[in-house]
Amino acid sequence: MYGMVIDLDRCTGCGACMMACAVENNVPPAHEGATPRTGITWMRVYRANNGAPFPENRTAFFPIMCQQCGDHTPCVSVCPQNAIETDAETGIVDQMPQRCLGCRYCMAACPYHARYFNWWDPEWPAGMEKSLNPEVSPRMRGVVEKCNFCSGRYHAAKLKAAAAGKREINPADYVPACVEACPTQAISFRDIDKEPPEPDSFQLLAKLETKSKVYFRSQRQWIRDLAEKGIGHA
Amino acid sequence: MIIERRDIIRIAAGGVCGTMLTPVPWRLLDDSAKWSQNWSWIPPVPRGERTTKESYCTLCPAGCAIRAACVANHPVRLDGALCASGVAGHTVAYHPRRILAVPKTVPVHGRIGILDMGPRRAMSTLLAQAADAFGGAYLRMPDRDEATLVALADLMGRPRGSLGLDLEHTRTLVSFGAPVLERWASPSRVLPRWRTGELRVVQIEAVESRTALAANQWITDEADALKRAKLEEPAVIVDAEGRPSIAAMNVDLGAIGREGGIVARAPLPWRRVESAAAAPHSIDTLFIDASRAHQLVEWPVVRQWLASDATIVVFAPHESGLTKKAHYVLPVAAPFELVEDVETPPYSAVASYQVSQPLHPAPVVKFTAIDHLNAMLQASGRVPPSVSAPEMIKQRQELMASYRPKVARLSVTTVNVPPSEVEAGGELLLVVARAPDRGSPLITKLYEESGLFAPEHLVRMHPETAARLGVGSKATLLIETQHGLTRRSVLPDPAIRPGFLEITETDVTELCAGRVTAAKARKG
Amino acid sequence: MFRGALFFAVGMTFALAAGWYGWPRAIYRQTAQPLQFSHQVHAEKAGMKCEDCHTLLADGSFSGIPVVDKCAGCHAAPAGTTADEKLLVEKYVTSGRNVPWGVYSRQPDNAWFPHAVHVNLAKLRCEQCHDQHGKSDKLQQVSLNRITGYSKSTIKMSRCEACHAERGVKAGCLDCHK
Repeated sequence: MYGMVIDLDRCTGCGACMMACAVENNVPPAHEGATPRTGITWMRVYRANNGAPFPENRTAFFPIMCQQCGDHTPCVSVCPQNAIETDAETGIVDQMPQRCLGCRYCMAACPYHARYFNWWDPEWPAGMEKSLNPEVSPRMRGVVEKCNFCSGRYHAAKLKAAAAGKREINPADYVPACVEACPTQAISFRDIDKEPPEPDSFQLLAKLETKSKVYFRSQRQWIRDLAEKGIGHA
Repeated sequence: MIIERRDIIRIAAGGVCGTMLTPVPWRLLDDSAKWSQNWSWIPPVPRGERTTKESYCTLCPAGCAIRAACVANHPVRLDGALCASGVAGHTVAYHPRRILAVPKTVPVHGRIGILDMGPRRAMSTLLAQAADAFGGAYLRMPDRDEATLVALADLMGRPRGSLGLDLEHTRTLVSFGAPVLERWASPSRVLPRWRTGELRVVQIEAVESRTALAANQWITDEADALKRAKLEEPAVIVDAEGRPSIAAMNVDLGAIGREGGIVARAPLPWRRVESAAAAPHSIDTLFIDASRAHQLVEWPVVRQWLASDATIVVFAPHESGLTKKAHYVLPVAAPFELVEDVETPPYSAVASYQVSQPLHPAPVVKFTAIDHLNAMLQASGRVPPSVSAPEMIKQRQELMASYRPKVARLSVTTVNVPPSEVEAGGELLLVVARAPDRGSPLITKLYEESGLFAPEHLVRMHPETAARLGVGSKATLLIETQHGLTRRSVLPDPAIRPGFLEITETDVTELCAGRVTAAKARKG
Repeated sequence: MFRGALFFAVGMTFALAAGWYGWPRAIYRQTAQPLQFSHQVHAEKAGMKCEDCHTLLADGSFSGIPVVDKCAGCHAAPAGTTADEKLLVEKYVTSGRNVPWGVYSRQPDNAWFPHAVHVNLAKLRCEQCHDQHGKSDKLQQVSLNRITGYSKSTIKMSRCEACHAERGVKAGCLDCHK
């Protein structure tokens, strides 16, 4: 099962992960009139605050993408189309835009607001279609999409292993875009069955028992408290 | 037999029943569904041979190494330790509002000034030569890239650019407001060592910048900051504004000439081009080469140079805040479209020269600033520089190949620090937050689509400050500093320190001269 | 009554004929390949195997239909006497242009079919999916559905699912879709 451990004490809110994600996954630039509610950012860095008065006021950044929930995946249980499936081998919650009818029930169900709706057809400036990633299929309007731990890269790793006659992929070949881009290497991606998250790691909204596969770490207690309660839109 | 209407109906009925017994209705439904799934109006992904190209990023002076994954010769992904702008650097060429049209005539009159927004390139030498050919001035923005080292070099009586920072061995980096954990120096020299804890960062800054919130220690007050800082040797001090008094603290710290501190750095084997001094209001035609946009254009500085009725001509690959201020805009190549070069990155300990190969197979615009200027020189009967940019880059590559400089060890015991200017305090302090420039079409992810970086029309302040100024959310505020003024829309934010105003600038600013300035503000 | 039934039958017969015979012919647009190519000749006379032109590349991707450089390897000048070969050399090899072959089995963009996994790991033989195409003497016309744009011989998802089920191989969404 693949998972991530994100060290929040190393996140500077630079946004490199967000840009790398958009480049990798053929996410189009904002349509005219897009806002933080209607834009598509599979990876989104939120700004969190401890709410204390000055001089104790502190800010931190939370990079949040689909938390790849475990057994009780809220989105999988509500989809009328069976367009979402949790992959048995990798643990990735796979969203199939081709099967999606755009009811957005999953968006309501997701406690992490990690799902994004294509309000518009994707449009790239002239010529930019030549820079699209051939390993990822673009989506049309009217369907929901979300982080899939860069499945395109997983496929490429499988392909490379198969070319050498192997069934197991080389872990070094499968690195999601955000993990690769982070300048402080705040995001760690690995098989969390083989290398479990550090003992001081915590999940977001753990009380919901979504058994999410994205863990966070921080020495700051206010951040750990926030992870239990949830953070609002900045 | 007379065929009646009923017979026709019977034939039709038979036809319908027959059709139901054929595959046609189901095939039609199926095929229509498949057709609707074709999404033929969505561009297909590129098909073709996959190759890699290696190059260097030219978006800022750090010159990070890039490996580009290409399909059918077009870059689709950039790998490397790249920043938010760098990972999408190959998309800048596709900016939706690229400058493409060349104006028929550009009136060149009076004294010429050429402002180089991307100094320390082969292009810079050529722009300086063009300025000479015009009998004009080669100009630059105040150099903030290596501010501390420049100040120290001046204090030590050494040539500017002759000092470097041995970041590979530093244990504590004390920063007075410099964004050392953001895009500063060469991030790959700082961030990996900071991540493992080998390098500690002490940030001395009044406001909680991204560096301050992540730093090992954050001190808000500059007074006696060093006494409160937890230092592990070797330590070194940098200052965002390059104040001599702060730079000189390195001498007391014993950081000069020591491993992990300030070291001597060899110059490059060609003459360093310096900005000319331009008398106030002496420039009648100002050319601005904005093909590399990593530094803010400080408009108060520009305004100081411009004569009344001056013409502003901007060379830019795409529309921006700067092109809106120009009378004429001329098209130039975007990043990664042509061969470019990167000289020694800021704070580097060694001299280096990197040649950046283009990533795009063919440029949308193949001109550079010097091409336009050469044409204008020839049109006015003057002699343009004889060497082209690619030729000069090649010459410099060859010079570097055989360059074996000897670098003497630095030593200094005291420097004379001129008395520092006391900055006038103000009722408010303005912080200019530098945000990623809007070159890539995908940069909307960080602005419109998430609000990670505040939009430029806003000013953020603590609710107390807003109350004191008598403004509420979305009110318009007129902010004035000694350099200029600007109007912004108010956004109360308890994360901003009371008494401070924070604005975002991406390419041109009316206000800034460093990060924190005294300001006045009022409704309107 | 008989008269009514007769007309009914007439209508039905026409519909059945149109549906079963007319429709398949009407719905597909036949396009000829730009030039004829005989797999049989290349396999027998030239002694080539499938892998000589249709190979797996180093990163695992499949070369698909070879680029003209592969043909130029032997056909820099006409090796035989056919008009098609002459066309190949004159129009494509000399100018380096790729032959715009029609593809019989193009899948939609969101389907991920890795030849490497099926050939190297599942050890499938070419004929198991591509039938006797490798032994054919003439290239058939490409039959493209006028509505969907897919070829008549494009493998449908049901066939993939059936084979996976038969062999007990996992076929979750992630395994086959991008």
